[in-house]
Amino acid sequence: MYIPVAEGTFFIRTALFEPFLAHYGFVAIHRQTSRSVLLGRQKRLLSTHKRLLSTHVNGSDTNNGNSGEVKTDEVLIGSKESYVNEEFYEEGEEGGEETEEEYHTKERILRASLPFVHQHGWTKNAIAAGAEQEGLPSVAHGMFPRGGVELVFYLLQTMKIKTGPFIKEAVEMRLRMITPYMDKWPQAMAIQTLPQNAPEAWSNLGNLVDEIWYYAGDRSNDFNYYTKRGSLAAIYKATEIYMLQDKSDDWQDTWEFLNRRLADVNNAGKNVKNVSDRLLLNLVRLTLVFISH
Amino acid sequence: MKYSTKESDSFNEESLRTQKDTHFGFESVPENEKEKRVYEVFKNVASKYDLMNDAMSAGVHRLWKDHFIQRMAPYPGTKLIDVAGGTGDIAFRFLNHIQSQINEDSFQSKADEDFEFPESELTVDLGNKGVNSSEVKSDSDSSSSDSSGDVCDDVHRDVLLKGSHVTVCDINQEMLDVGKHKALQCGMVSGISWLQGNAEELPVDSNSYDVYTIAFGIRNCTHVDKVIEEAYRVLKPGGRFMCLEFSQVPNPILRSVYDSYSFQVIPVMGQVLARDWRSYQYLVESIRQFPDQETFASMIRQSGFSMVTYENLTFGVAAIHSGFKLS
Repeated sequence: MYIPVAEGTFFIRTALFEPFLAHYGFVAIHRQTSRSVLLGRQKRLLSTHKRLLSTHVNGSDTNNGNSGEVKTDEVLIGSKESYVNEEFYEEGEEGGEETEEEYHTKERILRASLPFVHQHGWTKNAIAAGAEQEGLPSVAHGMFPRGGVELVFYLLQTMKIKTGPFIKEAVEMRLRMITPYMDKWPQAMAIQTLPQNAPEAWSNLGNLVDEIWYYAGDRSNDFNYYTKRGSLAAIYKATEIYMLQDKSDDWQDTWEFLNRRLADVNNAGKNVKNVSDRLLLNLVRLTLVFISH
Repeated sequence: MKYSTKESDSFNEESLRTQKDTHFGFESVPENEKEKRVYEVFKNVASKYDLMNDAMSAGVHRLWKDHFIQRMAPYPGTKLIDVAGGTGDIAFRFLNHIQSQINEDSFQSKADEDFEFPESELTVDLGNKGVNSSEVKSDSDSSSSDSSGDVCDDVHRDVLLKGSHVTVCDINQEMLDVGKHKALQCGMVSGISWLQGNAEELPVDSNSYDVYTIAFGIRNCTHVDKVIEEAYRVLKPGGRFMCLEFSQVPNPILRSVYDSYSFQVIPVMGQVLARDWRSYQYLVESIRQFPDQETFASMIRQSGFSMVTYENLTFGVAAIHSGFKLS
């Protein structure tokens, strides 16, 4: 008879917290793109957080010649992203779990295939060539039943990981555009808040954050869409206000402030998840105690 | 409907039963006898096998097999072992597919060379290949042109096929003979070899093939799991296991139509066309005994294959199962 309670908490958890977690991940997500590779990738990243770190840092990514700093950034963002996606994909996937080995083999083949795109185009010929390059039979292209488009998705996925830095740069770039008017900017902000001007000011802000998210690769079409835009708008406005009184060189303090706010949102996502998990766990325990008495 | 319930029940019973007995159609026979009886069936039907396939499936089995090869999409250099492939249906399609790829490539490279004309006229049209390849042979290497023609043709075509090769393996010599005969008729002499052997213990080395196919054969084997394990053994890492086999039609309405067709029409057809009722009775019964798509997929997974998938053909009358050996 306590089951409805448990279901209720589950509902609250999924319906209310998950979207927050999702958007606190601060990463663009394609719900539709992933079938095999992307899905596997994200599940992989999620299920083994530690392994993710070692893969990205020690693994084959090192030969891409990225600087160390960028790499850690990618790891962070990547892990957030994977976390977020897990929530979405868990129910939808009909096949079995993809194993570590399957994921790595596919990833290895796709990475090796990209250079062949110039010769063969985005086709299974390129994948077959990549497989042979990796010392596997060319028929291994059958691991990618959708053919060349899996290569495209793979490439986009590797690009999308850089969303975090992208958003930061976009916000910074946009704020820099107002610097020529900085001496009179407080007034501009003030008149925008007047009732007759507020609607347009809001929609300007909305369009701005929407554009940033769009070009960061976000195509979410659920509640997540609003939470992402809402949190970015809040950060944007907060940074703008901070900027008004910033006297440092080249607004250095402002950009640090911006970085801290973005990090805050990431951490908040983590904490909310922890808290809600613990809450849920305790509720389940309580429920069990009630039932058993 | 009544067949389907029978099928699922009996399959469960079968799998629970002790190792001694196995199913032969709906009959239960000692394990060591099944192989013999299956051998008898295919010995009897070998000569009419292709005709009966066409008649029973109204030609659709050709589409299935074409689709099967398209799914595999082999590239030149691929080594295939086609198990239970006696009459060569898969093998010939495989070679044709590769040949067409090579033709395409050479066409492409010729186009790239801006139509430099004929000297490098090495493409071989499959239709009258026998004639063509000997011509090419004598053109390019006239000094040894009167040495034994067959061998030279073989060597030449091997070069053309860029090392692609198919080994057709069947337990049944009669079926292999039919296949060989067909091969001679359509001039497929090289890139193909014939091997008599049991799918449960293939007489070939481990890690030696890129693709393992078994089309409408695994159902007749006594130990399906052993066959899959054997497939795993002979494949190279990264190699692909592909199985084309009759499967279960999930839709109850379609299934009832399919069942009545199978049980009412096919044995009669067998009697009329091949003078053999019992073999075709066995055929339809053995299809019902074979595990459904999911069960079979999990069997493949259990044998160590990764990325196991299946694809239904014609509402699930047949299905292509596929898996990869990763290491």
